[in-house]
Amino acid sequence: MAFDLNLTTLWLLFAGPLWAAVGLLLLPRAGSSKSADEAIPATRLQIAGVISGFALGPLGISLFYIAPALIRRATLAAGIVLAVFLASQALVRVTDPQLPSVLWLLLAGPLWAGIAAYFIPRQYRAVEANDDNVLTAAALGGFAIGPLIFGLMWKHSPKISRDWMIAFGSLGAWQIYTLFAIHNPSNPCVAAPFHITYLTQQTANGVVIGTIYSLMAVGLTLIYSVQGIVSFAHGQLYMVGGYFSFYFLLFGSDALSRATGVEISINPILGIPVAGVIVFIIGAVFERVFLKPMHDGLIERVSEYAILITFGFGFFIEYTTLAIAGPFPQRTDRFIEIRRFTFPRTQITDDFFFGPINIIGDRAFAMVIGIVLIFALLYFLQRTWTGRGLRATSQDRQAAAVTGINPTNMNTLSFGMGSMLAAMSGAALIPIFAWVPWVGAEMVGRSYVIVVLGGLGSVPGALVGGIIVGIVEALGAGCHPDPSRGAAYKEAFALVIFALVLLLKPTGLFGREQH
Amino acid sequence: MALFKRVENAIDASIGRRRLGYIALSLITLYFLWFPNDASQSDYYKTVFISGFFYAIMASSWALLAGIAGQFSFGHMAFMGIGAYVAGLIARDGILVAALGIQVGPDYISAVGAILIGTIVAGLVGLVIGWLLLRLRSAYLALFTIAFSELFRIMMLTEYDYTGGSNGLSLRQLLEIADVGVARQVEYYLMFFLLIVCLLAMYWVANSPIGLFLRAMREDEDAASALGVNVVRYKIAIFVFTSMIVGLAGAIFYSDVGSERIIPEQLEVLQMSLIIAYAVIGGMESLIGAAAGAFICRYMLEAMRKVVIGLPFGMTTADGSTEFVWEPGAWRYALFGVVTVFTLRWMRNGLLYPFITWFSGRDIAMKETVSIRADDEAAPDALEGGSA
Repeated sequence: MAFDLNLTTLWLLFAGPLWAAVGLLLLPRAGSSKSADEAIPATRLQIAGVISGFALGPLGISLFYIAPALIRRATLAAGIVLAVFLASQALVRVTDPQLPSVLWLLLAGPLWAGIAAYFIPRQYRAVEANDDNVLTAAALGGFAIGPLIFGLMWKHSPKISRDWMIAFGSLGAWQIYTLFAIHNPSNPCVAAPFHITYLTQQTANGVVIGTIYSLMAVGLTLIYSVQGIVSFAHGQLYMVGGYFSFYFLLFGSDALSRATGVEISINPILGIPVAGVIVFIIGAVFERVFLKPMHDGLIERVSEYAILITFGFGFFIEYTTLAIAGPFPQRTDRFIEIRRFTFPRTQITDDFFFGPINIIGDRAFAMVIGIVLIFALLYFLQRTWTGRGLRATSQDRQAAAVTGINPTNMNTLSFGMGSMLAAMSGAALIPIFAWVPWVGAEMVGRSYVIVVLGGLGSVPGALVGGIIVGIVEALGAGCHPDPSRGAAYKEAFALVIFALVLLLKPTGLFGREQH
Repeated sequence: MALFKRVENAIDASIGRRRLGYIALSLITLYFLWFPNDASQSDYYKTVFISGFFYAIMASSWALLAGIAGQFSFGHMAFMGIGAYVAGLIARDGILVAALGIQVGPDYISAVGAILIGTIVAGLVGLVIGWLLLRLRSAYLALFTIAFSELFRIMMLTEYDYTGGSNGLSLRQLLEIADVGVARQVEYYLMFFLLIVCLLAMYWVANSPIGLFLRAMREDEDAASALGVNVVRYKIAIFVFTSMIVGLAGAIFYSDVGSERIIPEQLEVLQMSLIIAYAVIGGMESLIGAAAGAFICRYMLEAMRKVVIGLPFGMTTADGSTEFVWEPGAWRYALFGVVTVFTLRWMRNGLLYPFITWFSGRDIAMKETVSIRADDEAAPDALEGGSA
């Protein structure tokens, strides 16, 4: 093992742990000196001390000491990211690939994850402790620290909070990143000094595209929260939304040009409401004809019927579009003429700089549209009578019916609006992607990942999930050692997360209990 | 109607509907056995029939898994692909188990051996996936299997060094017959007998106590479990069973029997949706219905490539032809989608259901599902009278 001793390594080896220990001792005292009603659990204070001490040294500790109210999940997560980043920076410089960590990650980690996930929840049930999230924590912990997880969780059966999972998950991610860095030292994601810029660039791309993904996923989650069904026609409605926008712009521009005698092309932004309105009507009619009988109790085995009928509907839409529009890729004009927004390069020290970071103009514009629409939806759900009715129906249909909300209309509205959001995101993306009738199949897979990750039925969950999926896809595709395979595996990265979430925590990050 | 009723009564009095049904079934079987000897039929339709048999196996095994056992798996095509790809890879590269020191060169593996290994591997993967699926229900189960199937497809597409990527993978030829005409006949009979064997095996499972347990679990898993049905065991067992059937069918079909090579495109969700649509149109809760539905749909989709209608009364089209020609292209799939959706909504048990019930003389599916339980979801609608 050879170390290239520099400032980060020194920090990691000596100063970081020192300050972490100081934080561990110091911060719980801060918490206990406060009044009882805003008491923060001692475990969390200890974690905060370790993380802030390690990541920012005396600065972090004093920050939390002065304002313990800042000790929240978000700040802790940010601290962990920083700490993990610092630690990995030092370990990237370990040049010997024959580390036991290779063996650990490939063989022992998953093995211990499986063993812990099998035995620890049983132990919890045996001692009748609260076993919420225990499976997830045990699997992540087994992967991160191996048999030591039994020492932590077996005897005392502590109640598992989200902090446990964040800690174990970050540790596991850090191990994977380190191993990756050791084996691919020249990869742009790890090779200094460009890698920070590169990672930021990829993350920015991921956030931009993830926001648009989440617009589509929000529609899915809206339908689920009110009706309790997953729409398998969502991808096709997204696709057909793009096509409605495309044909509206095509024929609209043509008609305007002919009427005025001047060459006019309509901006694609106008296609978004048009596609939204048309698909809203399609979705609402479909709901009235095919899904209403389900809620009227005319159909047995409701959940299976819902899967099949939406699936068949999507099938029909896809082939009808193929018959009408043909298999040729289509694309509309751009939203804006600006090709890209650039954040300029910043020189921080002599051998360390940051940037430039580019964001493609149209994608940034689509992201803005996505954010505006999601906030409009949130406003609708939170502030208007109808929106509140939707939320009330999603929480308790009977109680909502008693207070004068018509659940049948709310069903139709939710399916129509969900479909409308899919169509709008389709119309927002047709200037960016080449549009073919089977474009929806790929996209809807992402939406499923997003809604399950964020928790089926949760709107903020869909937003967070969309951004996570966008980042994972961008980083996965950007960091894969073989660029062409990385692009091909783009979807696969999200699907792996999806499978893991379904197995470990089907309710997702923000989800309610499974109906 | 009165005439129909009288004929019905006459049949009931003389040979009985059930026996008539068996006679009809044996006549159809005889027709299929005779079909490749029909000199007037082109090789093209023999190929269509072969693929029809293959899809009949796929659809009926999916009907067993989803219709009878209630597990809505979208991973059926992926298990078919596992069988075919494993058989192909083993026949090409041999087996290497480095840890045990086993190395078998490709020369020592026959086509049949490769197909059997492919089937077993499909079953083993089915075991793992079936175990993972135990925790998941309805929509979650469907989503997980979609993810699994897509992951498998992407892997097969991307690892082109091993699998040939989008060009596909050629399996070892199962039948090495030089004469094309004879080969086509043998392939036809092979696929047909495979279909018969699979159907018999599945009927045996569906009519055994296991089938009864599966139906009980489909209706109410907790109640079945409380009454002593080993839910875990039967859920996994049926998943493994259907995975092995489709793995076997896939490995045989792509060993140059029905198709030269397996391509990842075959594993797309869209292909899976075709299988589901076949099973739905034929009848999800009847194995023979799903098989017949798949075969008929397959045949119709091929036959509708070009629709020629002779115009009556000496009418002519605009360009003077006496025939109206329509090439539907993607429209036939769109039409197919309409049929699927309408079947689901108004003929839940499939379009063939009336025939099957008539011949069997009893209302199988109705008896099972007649009790429409008053779900909690249905309740608020009773309250909503004055709320609109």
